[in-house]
Amino acid sequence: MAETSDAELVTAARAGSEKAFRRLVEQCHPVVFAVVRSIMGDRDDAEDVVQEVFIKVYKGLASYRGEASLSTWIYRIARNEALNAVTKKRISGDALDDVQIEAPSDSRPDAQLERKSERSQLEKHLARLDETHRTVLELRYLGERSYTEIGEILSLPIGTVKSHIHRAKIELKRVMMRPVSGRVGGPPAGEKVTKP
Amino acid sequence: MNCQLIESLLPAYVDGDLASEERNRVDTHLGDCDTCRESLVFFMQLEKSLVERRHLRPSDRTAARRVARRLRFRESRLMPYFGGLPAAVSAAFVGLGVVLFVARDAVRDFVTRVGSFHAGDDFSAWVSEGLRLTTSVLETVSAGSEWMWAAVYVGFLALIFLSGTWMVLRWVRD
Repeated sequence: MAETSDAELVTAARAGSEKAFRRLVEQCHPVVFAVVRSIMGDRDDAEDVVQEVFIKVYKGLASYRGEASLSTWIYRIARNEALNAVTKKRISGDALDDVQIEAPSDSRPDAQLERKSERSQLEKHLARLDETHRTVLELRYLGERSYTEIGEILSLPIGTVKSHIHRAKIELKRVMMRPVSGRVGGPPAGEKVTKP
Repeated sequence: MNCQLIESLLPAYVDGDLASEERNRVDTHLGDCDTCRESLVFFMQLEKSLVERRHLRPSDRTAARRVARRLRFRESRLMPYFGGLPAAVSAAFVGLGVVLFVARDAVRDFVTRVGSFHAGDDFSAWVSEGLRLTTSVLETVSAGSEWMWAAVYVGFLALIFLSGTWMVLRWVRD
């Protein structure tokens, strides 16, 4: 996101331009969605939280002074909202940690079913990464941000961002390829898999 | 270079983030090591799977529209909303009221006729009476002028058409 266009959008949105604010939301939505999803996991209400983030951004525009870059400021709001939502869900007893994956078919799966099962496995293992690794991966792939943009958002050097992404992938390989009862790629030994 | 070290470099290798010297060392090792070649395949497939996850993100434009709609909704509770369909419908009713007042004699006559209808009367008779009222109202308003007659008739049709179009465009935009 170019600094000049951010400043212009903020100024126009503050002045009440709905068009400018919508443009701002379109630009920042990839980052916000990636951050919220990295914290909340595979949940439908991540989209509701994303909306709440932008409501807060809108309300907070008047007080945004530009000390941090716009992307960093919005990232912090997104992170806080997502963590609050997770805390509220835990307090209300909504199970967050149950891992829902589809039970593999007993018969030989066709290519589509196998692909779906692989995706479920990937989501499950992504959820188990530590927050930093998960966030940089989601910003890179879900948010489609460059290393430079991720560094700006998280206030990290580019080298550190790359290092986090590479280590996250190595960690993913380690957990995904962990053998269980002779089955490569299955869930770790002794770990329960909750079926819906 | 041992396999553990090579494996730690493979994600960067796939991303094209290795310096040329390191890349050459990895290439050399991969030429001789089946295990590391399998690891490379894994990281390439992982990269492909991660890239495919972008479809999980909803449309940015749709998200922006939803947010804008919610903000308008929140603001409308504090601010009166004067534009659009409510104004058009209100104007239509006011206009209709004026027309009916001007042609009140014709309206009074119609009401009297309606009162004398009995249950079971032919439906077409109701339709004919309705059309007769419309014609007499428009004749009264236009004072016999055909242009005025057409203008009032077209005016009401235009108002109904514009209101309907506004609603459709609003729905499409949202």
